[in-house]
Amino acid sequence: MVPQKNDEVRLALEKVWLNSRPQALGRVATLQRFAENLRSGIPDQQSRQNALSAAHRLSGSLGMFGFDEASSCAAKIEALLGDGPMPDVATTVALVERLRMLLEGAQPCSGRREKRRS
Amino acid sequence: MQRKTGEAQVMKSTTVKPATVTVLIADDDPIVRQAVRSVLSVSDEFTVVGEAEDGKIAAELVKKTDPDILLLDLLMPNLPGLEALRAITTAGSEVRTVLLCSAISAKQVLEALQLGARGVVLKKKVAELVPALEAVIRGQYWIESHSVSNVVHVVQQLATANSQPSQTQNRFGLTARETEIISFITQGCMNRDIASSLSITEETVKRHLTNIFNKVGMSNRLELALFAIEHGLVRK
Repeated sequence: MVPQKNDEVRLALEKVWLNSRPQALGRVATLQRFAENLRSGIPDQQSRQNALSAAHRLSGSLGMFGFDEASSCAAKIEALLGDGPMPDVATTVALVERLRMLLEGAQPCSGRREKRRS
Repeated sequence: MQRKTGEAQVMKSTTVKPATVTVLIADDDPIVRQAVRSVLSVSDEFTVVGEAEDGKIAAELVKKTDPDILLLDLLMPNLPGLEALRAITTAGSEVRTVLLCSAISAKQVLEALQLGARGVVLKKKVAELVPALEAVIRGQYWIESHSVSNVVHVVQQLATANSQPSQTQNRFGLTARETEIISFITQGCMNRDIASSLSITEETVKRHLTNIFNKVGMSNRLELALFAIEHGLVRK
């Protein structure tokens, strides 16, 4: 694709991200609720299912906007929440917190601009 | 544009511009569908004629809208992407399907090609969507960010990543010569190349191929190549 078209694609994706950001953060909030339930020792299958769906969607969509690290983080959470016993509390909480930090203030279309905080 | 979830989205045919490539988007995530729609809107060549949020609706909408291209996610509720593709292929649709997914294994790519997919685009490379669809419309394949004319070569490369150690050619009653010919087929060789390499006539190669097709139940070279790789028939 010619450079001008690339710029147009980038701008188009930026617009979509600005519109979709609240929805994406809502998905992170779903993960945070599950992580909180897990920490309190009261996780249920429904909240796990909701969290799994949120993680799956985040891992797919975030990559489209250049948030590679956040997408990879969501993919790890998705893998943890898949079949099997309840996931490890500390790992889940840490990954969800990492994802939240990566997305907070993230700018679209360049993974380099993901806000990194440790 | 915010869309209501839980239902198929079909755009009115009056909005379809003439001479554009019609596209159906199948993904369970509305954000992804919106992003794809926006990327395609940069080009005048494409018109989105519908959106589906699961595989079952995608299969139904392919019938209803008869799009040129189906963009299909791999992991979707109700009917997963590859199952939806199988249903669409079985129904005899001529839609050209391109998988749009977060991640995909070599085995899944092989399976998708076997089911008739024409390309794979990773979501993180969504900016490549327009060139990918252009290649597919030209009759080429789009794999790993490249336009490909000879899919058998791709299959061969994928097979290296997906190779199985077991040699099961005897299960199909294949002779040593037939196995040899299968190896050439998976490398994308034409009959005349095979004939030359084995010092036999093209007619003999054709006869061997007919026997091979009968033994393994395949009907063309691509199917045979995919089948051979999947069943470990390829010689090391």
